[in-house]
Amino acid sequence: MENILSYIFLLPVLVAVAMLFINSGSSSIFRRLALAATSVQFFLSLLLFFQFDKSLSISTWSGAFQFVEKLDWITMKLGSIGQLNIDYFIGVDGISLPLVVLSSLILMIGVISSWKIEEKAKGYFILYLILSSSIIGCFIALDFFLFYLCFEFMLLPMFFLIGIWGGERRSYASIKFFLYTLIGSLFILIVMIGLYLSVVDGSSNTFSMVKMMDGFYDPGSVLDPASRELFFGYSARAVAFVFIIIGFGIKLPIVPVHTWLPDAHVEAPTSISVVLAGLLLKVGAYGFFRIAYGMFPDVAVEHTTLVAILGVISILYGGMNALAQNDLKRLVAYSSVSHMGFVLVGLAAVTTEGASGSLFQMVSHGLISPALFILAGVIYDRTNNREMEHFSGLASKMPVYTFFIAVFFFAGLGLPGLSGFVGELMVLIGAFKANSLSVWIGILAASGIAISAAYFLWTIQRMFFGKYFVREKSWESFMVDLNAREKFMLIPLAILVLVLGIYPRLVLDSANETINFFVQHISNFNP
Amino acid sequence: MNLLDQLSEILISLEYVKVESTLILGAMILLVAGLIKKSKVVIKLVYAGTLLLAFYFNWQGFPMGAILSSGLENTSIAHNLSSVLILSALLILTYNRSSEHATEFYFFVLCILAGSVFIMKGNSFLVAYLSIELTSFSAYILTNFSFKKTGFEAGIKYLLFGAISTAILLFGFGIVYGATGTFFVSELGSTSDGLLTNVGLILILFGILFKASIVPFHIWVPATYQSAPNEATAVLSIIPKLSALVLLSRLIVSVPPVVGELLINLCLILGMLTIVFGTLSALKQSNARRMVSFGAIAHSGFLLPLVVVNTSTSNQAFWWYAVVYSIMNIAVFRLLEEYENEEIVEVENYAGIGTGNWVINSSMTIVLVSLIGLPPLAGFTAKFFLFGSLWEYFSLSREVLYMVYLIVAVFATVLSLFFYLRIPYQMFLVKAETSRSIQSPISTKIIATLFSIILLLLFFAPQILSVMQQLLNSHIAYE
Repeated sequence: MENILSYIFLLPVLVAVAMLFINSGSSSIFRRLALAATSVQFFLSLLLFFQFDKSLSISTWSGAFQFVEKLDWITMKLGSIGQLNIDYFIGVDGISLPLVVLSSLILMIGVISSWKIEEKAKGYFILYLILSSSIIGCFIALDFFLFYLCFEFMLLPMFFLIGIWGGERRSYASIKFFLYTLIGSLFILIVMIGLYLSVVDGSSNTFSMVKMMDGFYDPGSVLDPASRELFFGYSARAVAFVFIIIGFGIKLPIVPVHTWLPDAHVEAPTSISVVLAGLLLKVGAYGFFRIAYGMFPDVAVEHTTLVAILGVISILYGGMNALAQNDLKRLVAYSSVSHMGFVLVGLAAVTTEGASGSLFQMVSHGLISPALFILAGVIYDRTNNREMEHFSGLASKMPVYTFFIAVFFFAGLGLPGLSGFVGELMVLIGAFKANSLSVWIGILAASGIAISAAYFLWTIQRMFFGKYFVREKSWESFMVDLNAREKFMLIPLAILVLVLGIYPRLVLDSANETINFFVQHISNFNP
Repeated sequence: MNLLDQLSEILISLEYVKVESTLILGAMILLVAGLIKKSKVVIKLVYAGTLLLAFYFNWQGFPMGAILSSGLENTSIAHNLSSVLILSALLILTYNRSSEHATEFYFFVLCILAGSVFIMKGNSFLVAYLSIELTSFSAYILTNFSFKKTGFEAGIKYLLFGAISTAILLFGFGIVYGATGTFFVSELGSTSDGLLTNVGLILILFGILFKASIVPFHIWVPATYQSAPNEATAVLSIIPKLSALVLLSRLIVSVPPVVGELLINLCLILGMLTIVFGTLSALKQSNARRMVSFGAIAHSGFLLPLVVVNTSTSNQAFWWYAVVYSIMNIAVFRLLEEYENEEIVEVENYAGIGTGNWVINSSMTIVLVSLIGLPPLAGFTAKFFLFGSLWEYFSLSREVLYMVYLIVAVFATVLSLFFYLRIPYQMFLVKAETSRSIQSPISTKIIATLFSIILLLLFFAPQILSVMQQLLNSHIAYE
């Protein structure tokens, strides 16, 4: 099927445009349309997954991408810069493929989890579908301008989705989210302009990310590695690398720029938390892969320890914070911070194990954290409360709920046989194996797993074991077990977590070639 | 050259000032028509007819270079921007204006326009001074057109500051003339730079920056923008500002290089101050229009480096920014008027009106987001070109000041999010005790939708504006 990527990318936004013209008082038509759009999207991305050529051997980034589509988008003369060329240029490689499939799955589950939204449903689903397109767009864009467009365009829908349909302090949370991410993306914008003016395709400057990764620099331009331009006393490329780290670090998020995340998660409606944790954080991590490490390999090898330490701090600080939380959703949010730290550690190792582990951890976290947010939403839907101390002994009253909680908590704390284990293990192997990293990085990261075990197990003990108790009498009647819709969302996630835990090659096989080349490409710059 | 030769040259050159002549004649006819028949339709027709004719003459093009004994100098940027200013004035017709005082109102707009077109071409100090005065006096009067106490107050304020600034300007002209013996901008380059000349030039610079509302010469802006009628605000924020910037760009390329350097650095520093000050002040405003006015000050700071740096990229970026800025400002003041008609004036008043009339509300959101400069809207592309030309100039000259400018501009963009977004925030995110929504006729909705579509379209197809520029340029005859 030709243009399959374009269909996956543009289908939601087209449906959103169509929705604009539907005037209907009932909300059911909108959620059905949204579900249809995301289901088709998921189906197409499965097709994509099976048609992807896993054995394609890669020697340059320009040969790494499949399903490539390239069309002229903007061509205009711009003064002495010459021709401004922006292309509609998309494609997937082994790094983005799993993320595209993951995105379409999570987006579909997100629609199901927003089934109960009645208030202003039209606006909600229009924004949701625009968000869907931008997320997919981020993963498949090969033109930096297109990437940046999608990256920025996640902000506005998200701002309104949190701000209108969120919880009590929603306006504070949405503004904070918007502001943090915008600051980050402007850092990226500066680097984008710098890269555009430094990288050439033939004779003209280009936005092509492929050329940027392959390093076709215009000799003498500011970001040319050979020119060693100084910038307030630092190498221009190092400054650009730091800008990128800040930009995507906010999205990832790394400590200390993570503070938007707990607020956004706590205030967002369940479905938006699902998308936020499952996918938006992955966009940040993907940026690290593609842009920070992909385009600045020479700087990246010099700063492995910096990135690794940022990762370790996130792991430990996020974990410690999670221990201290009393709100279930906040706990899950901080555990996200902690788990995303592993992605950084794996990347910093610059070994095949580490990088594959990072990617795997992204996919695995993309399955676990949405499930955890759905589970936190379950109890909130019933009681409008998430305080852990208000509940106890739920296992006797809600066995199925407890079962799923156990599955995903254990997956989160890295129980062997579930997906979380594989990712963390590979990251740790990678980190220990890396020559450039001190052994302490690995040890500290490993101790993060112990912390996550502590808070997950403690939560299970506090909320689910012991004598049955809920704070308010009036909640009693609502304490019923999962309904069909909730099970319908959780079962596929649980199965996937289990399957990936036992058979990680499902993800790793398709990513293998790309990851190998990715690591080799960076290692070439080893001093 | 004897008198006869001069006279015949003037006669020939008169054809090259067709645009200006049309605007002035049109203004006269408008005044007469208003005396004879007080019908709104007739006045608007005369106004529109004048502008269309002027646009047509401008479209036809005319030779570049000095005309009218070097009193004026045609440049391509002046020629191109004339079209933009004329079209902006035409778009003012989308605002609601009752027949009361319509004649005078449109008369003064035409005067501002005529003066501004002269400013952009002014080569002789005298022409520049007279045209600046023509624009200023019309502007002082337009400020009062709301006929409220605040309007008069703002008008008087504007008049006082304006008078001082033109006095400074005149002083500068005098000093430069005394020091160099020339009256023409284009001849400044061949003069030697002495202290006296430099002082004179800096004074002239201050006078021009006053018109362009650059900090610290911006004090008149908030009160004026807030109290004038909306379409007058739109006119004031676009037409005199852009024309003053064009005059500035000519001045900077004409002066001797050593002074030029000084003026450029001065402009860059003041430009950064403008961005910072405009943005920070906007943050603490409670009145919606005043907030947007401070935003407009910040936008002057974004426009300034593009006329100061003289590369072909920055010229094109200036053209881009100027066009998009005009569209955004006309749109935002038009929509603000719609809300103000319903007594929604303070930012707090916007609370909870997001439920009804989604066409106007979402258009307003789109325009404001474009003013911030986020994709996928034209405001982003404008800022993108601005950042691009700053980076390019930095990599050419390796002057850190340009990089600093870039970083300041980027951070101001983040901060501007804070205030521009307050309106959509109040609309959609804050729940009001009494839910109300604004009513607007279908024509307003169509206009609002068109503005939004234009802003979206220019992002996805930025080449449209370049093609426009090329079309305009293609009619210019080079001598």
